[in-house]
Amino acid sequence: MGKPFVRFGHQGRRLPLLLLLLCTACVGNGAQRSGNDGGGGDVAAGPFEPDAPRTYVTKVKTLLTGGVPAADELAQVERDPGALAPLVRGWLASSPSRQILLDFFADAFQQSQASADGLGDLYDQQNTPDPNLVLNLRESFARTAQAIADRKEPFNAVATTQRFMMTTAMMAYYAYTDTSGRDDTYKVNNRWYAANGNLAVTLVEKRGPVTLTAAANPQSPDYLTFYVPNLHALFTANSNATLEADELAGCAATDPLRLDRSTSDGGGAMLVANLYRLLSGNGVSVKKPSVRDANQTYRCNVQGSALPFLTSTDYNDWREVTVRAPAGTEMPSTFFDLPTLRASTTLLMDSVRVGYFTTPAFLAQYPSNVSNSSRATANQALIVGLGGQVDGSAQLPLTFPTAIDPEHAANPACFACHQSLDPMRQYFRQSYSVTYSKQTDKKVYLYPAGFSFGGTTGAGEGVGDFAQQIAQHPAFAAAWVVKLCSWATSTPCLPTDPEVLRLAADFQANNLDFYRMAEQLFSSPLVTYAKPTLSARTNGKQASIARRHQLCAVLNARLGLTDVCERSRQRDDGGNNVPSRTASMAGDLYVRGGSAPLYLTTPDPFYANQLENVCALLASTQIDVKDAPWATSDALDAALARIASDLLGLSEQEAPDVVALLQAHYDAAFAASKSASRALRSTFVAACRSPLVAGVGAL
Amino acid sequence: MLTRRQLLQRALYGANFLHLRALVTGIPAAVLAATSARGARAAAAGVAAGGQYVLFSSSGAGDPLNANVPGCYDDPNINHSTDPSMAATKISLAGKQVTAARVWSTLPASMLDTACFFHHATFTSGHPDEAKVLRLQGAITKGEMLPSLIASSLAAQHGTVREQAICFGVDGVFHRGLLQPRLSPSALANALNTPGDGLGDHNLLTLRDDTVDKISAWAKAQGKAYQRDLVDRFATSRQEVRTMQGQLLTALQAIRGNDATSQFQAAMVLFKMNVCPSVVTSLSFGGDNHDDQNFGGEVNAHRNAIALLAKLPEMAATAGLTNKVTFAATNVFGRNLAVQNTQRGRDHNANHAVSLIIGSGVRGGVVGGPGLSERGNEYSAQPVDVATGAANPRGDVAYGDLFASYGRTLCAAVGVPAADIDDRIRSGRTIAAVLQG
Repeated sequence: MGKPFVRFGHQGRRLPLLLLLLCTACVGNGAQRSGNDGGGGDVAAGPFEPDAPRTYVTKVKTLLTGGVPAADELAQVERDPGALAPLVRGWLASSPSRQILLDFFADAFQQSQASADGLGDLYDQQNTPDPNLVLNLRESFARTAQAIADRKEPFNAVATTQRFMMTTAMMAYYAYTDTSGRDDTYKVNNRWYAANGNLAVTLVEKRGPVTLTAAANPQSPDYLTFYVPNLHALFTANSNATLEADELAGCAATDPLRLDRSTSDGGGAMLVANLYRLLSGNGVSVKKPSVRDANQTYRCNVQGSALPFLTSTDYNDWREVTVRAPAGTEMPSTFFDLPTLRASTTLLMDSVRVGYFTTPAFLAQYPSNVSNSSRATANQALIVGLGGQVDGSAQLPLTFPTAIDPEHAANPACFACHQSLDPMRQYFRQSYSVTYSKQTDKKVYLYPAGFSFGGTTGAGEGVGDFAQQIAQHPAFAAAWVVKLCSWATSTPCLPTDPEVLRLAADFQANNLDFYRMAEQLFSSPLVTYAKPTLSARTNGKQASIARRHQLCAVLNARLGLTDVCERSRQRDDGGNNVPSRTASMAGDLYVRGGSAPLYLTTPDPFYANQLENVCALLASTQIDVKDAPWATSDALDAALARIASDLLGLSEQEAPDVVALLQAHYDAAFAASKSASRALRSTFVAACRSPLVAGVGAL
Repeated sequence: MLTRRQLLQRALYGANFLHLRALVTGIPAAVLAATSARGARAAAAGVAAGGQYVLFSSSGAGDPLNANVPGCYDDPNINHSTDPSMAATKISLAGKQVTAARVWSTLPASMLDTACFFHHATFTSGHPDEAKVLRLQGAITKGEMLPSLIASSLAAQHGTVREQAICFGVDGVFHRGLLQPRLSPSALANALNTPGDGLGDHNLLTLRDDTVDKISAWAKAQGKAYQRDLVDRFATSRQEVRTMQGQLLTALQAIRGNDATSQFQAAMVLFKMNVCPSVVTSLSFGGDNHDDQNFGGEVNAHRNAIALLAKLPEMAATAGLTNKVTFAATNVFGRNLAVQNTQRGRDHNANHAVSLIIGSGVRGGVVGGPGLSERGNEYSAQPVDVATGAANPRGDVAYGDLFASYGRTLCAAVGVPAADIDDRIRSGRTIAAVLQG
């Protein structure tokens, strides 16, 4: 973790977050800077009109659960607005809310947009994670943050934690990336191969089972011998399309199949990468001497998908895992020792992993290179942790020699940003190479890493010290109030808003208890619009479309479904189902260098039409179906009443007007289609695509 | 006999229906009528007189578009690939002889005669500043972005279904303060098809639109202004989608990919159907090529991009849009040019970039050019003479006004009225020397 954290001081004044202007590189002369990075919302005009409990109780419950408030919940708040907070507490504890918060965390910690390609460019650049592992990696830190919040650990542990929610598949991946990396010259630096270069990996079938424990035990005669019960069948014609029949037969007859420096495709340096590919079911190529020409070789391609090593359970056995450096005689964890990994809650790694900004999912989105040199990574970590970024505004000077790029230091226009970013990137450079493998170049320690942001300065070494700066920074609490508030309102909440500052102070004073902060926020006028706030007066009140995750939560809650956007299999005429339709609908979005997320608030025609199709798919699976129909045309009155109350969320007093409209639609649709089922399904679709379902805060 | 589409339109645009929609949604009937008229024109695939349709390319990667264009071959200290396609070659831009990479000579002469290479600076070298660059670094009023400013103006001229640009290649495009979604060409058709299970029957579609309008009207009666606004936006989107279904759907179904070619193809369909006045794509000229030995990536990307551009006239003609589509490319920044700074690849350059405009409103030519910066180690855009567009260290368009001048010139080239340009872009000068007429 490097030298102890050194703190040079903090000005002790309350500092506005740097939300709008951004500066990750130098700006040339003559620049005219825009202070507007976009954002929706209706600019406030005229006197503030407070919202009534009918509006805000519905909005808050929809945001937190997808559901509509019960009559008694609404009545409680109408009698006493203070009753909202305990209701929020209950909703936050509900199962739907936990999923909603997981989605929020995955976006807020900027893990959710990691791609397989981006991940494949990390570390040794030899393995692109399989789709299930990509999902694990995107989800891991959201689960980690939720675990921190659940046990009421101060929420700033998200920056310093070394306990991550992981699956066995993730542990194997982390251990592999710790074994095989690249240095700053992009040379492969493979610790395991360096120590075991003369060894071979052997796949066997005929000799019978070998346990994975024996295969991973260096003392065992079966070390690195892996039993594959269907080995001969893995050399399929599809995966060996260029081979002649006798060559393919030669592949299938090879048992034991030996992978070593001469037979491993790519040579010895690839032996480790090939072993990981085998484990993760990606398949490998093995070179064999040609049967026709002893001087030639051909490749047998193992069809990887049938390999038996990492199982579906290994992608779902979530648990908290402490990632730490080996101590004493301990050795780093072995990536192919699956039995040990499956039983373990500790992962030993040479390379440090701390907080949200060292996860593969985060790093994969912000690739570094010799020119960028991790500046963008450090800046993005500030955006996530503290809600602001280095923008060239005056920072406290560092009182020690710093590593400012000489070219940029000579240009005043560049210096403003580089004086902060260059020392800050050192935290990352000291820990990681340009591919985020463990740093092996000692020259990066010539200058200490330095932190100067928002009135706080400090020095240190490596990402562990950077984590402390984020965690201890006075802007942390307000940043997370703003993030959650902006998500809830789909419009920027101002860090200077007195109500934001009040909530941030309470958050700080209460051990950074995330759920307490969330409870206070969702019952605050920042979200309810029950009273004017600076944010609402400045940006206007905002009602929004239900973006993807919100719409899915609404459909789940109001139709009594589970994971409808993941599990629904019914397909329409175009071959689409609810998951594929919703996947292309607007979601929450963050971008590199953007201090605030991008929230679509307005329906566009594509959203509107996808919504209609999703509703139609649901109608087909919920109306007049054999098993547990949500509504039936045999009981039309009850069906229309349920649409009004459960789907649209209307009260007893409100429902009759809308039920009359639904009845009129049903009658007309029946006349047009001569089908009661189709008429009721059409009625359901009409309701489902209305702003009462697909809008947040529309009523 | 009426076609399905005609039936749909008759149902949607009958006068009584308009009146009803206006009544229940609160959207003025005149607005709905205008939108309906746009839809009717769309059905006929007619193109209104006036402005261009704009195929806009933007990239946050900071492509080396500024490295091999006319104006960059007059100084031997500017580094180019040794690949033959980047060899200095004379080309003619509307009768003016200039030197550029050979690959540019592969564009049809008619395109070169309407191509403007505009040297300027974007004043940033940070990837995240693409949004600021699209706002001309604050030169546009009300924080609007250049593609959106153009779209607003041209939508009125064309009577398009949507006022907003449709974005394929870029995240974070705002229009009147509202974020626009990023779409993929291959998903467009999928996003426009009608429901199955008999629920896509046009009678049911019409009935449902009517019912949703009535539910919406009920909701509006309960809500406040900001809630009524959202309800109205839902109504607008429903109207737009009905207008876009039908023939558009069929045309888009042929598009399978999401690459630049597919983006161009989808743009032509959208223009042909008068759906939107502008499409934002991303055409790579080499990307973020810090590590690009002998500029191999730059060379390949230039070849591919220019080959695609060369097909643009044919694509436009097929869509019945000959001389009606303008291509405009802007990058977040340019890249280094000097030999001593480009041995491994090209790093970011805040002080020199090139934007490209190709369209019938352009008289081919070069505006400005690179010159060594004060310290002499890298290139900056030089000031320009407003009358000729020629680079001149004492030119009357100062370095700091070049980027806004590009924006003004592009707007003029695509048909944004001069008064609108003056009203919306608060600095810079329009370079009339590269405009037709």
